[in-house]
Amino acid sequence: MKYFLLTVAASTLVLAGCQSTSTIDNSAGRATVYEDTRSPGKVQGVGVESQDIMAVTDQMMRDMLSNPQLMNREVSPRIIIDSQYFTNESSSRINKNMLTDRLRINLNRAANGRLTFVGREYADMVEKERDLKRMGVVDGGTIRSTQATAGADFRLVGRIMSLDAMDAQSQERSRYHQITFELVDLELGTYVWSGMYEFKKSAQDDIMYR
Amino acid sequence: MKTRLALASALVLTLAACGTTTQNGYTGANPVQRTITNELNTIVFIDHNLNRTDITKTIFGEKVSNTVKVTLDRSGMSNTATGQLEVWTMIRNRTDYDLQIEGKALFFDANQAPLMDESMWRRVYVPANGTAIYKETSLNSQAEYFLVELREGR
Repeated sequence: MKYFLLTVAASTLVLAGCQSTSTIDNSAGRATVYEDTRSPGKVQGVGVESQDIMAVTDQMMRDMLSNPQLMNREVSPRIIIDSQYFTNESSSRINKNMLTDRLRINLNRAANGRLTFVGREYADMVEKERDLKRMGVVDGGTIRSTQATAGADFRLVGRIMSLDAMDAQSQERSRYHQITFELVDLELGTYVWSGMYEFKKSAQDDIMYR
Repeated sequence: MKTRLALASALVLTLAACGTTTQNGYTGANPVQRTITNELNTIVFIDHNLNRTDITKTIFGEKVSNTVKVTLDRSGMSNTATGQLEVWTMIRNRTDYDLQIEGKALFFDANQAPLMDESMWRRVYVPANGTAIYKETSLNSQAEYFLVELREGR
């Protein structure tokens, strides 16, 4: 009887030992690291990335600031820069506001009053507050009251376009991006300034942009 | 005779190996560009693989070796119609293969104080043995000095 019990206990232990192989990968991951947003990072593909957004907006801003038609006016022109008429026709997934917001904010800071930016995106909000003021629900504020909100002289329009190519054998792909920026005269309908940024990337990647 | 020659050559090789000290206390392969101060209104290669001078002090004197992949043929600065400072340089590729160069400009005011006007990296494609232009403008008319840094495209 004793031998029988010992045999059972021994085989139980052996079998328990065999079960120690775990299928769960519990190894430590890579720690989070900050990366330079102006240069390609560790994870990169063929789409529009942070360094492209920063480079394109910086280039367009400097180009606009050195345009005499825009900057040498006696009265600073009023400009609308938002993504309303800025379309993404490319195969890259991107939030267009990242381009238009960065362009407007940096341009506003650099222009230092030489250009006036109209916030048409928030026109509803302004109208509601104006109505409350006019109805006497709230007082008139401390700055001034105007007949109407600001009309704009120019508005940004543009497109993000792309051309894709793929080698079916190697699965290597390339994407050429063309990003256009133009300012339209909102009375005459003419283009007063145009800028373009182009780049092409190729990779054998499986990067997903979200 | 053979033994003497072998000993003599071993001694020469040993002494030559000792002479790896380079400029300003750096040892190993440290180019001159690493230790010099960057003056304003200059264009510098921060990627020393593109253009550098190595000086190695040996018992036989200083050994100077130059690595030249890219050179700057001409450079200049001017003011735009809107008063901004514009800096440009003509980059020449001295190799037999295409290169991508990235440039970035920093601008300073009349007192050489930083204007916090630092451009983003602008990529310039230079074909093999060819030339390309890098140009950057400041954000406003306060800029009077610049410093341009060039590196190989990433």
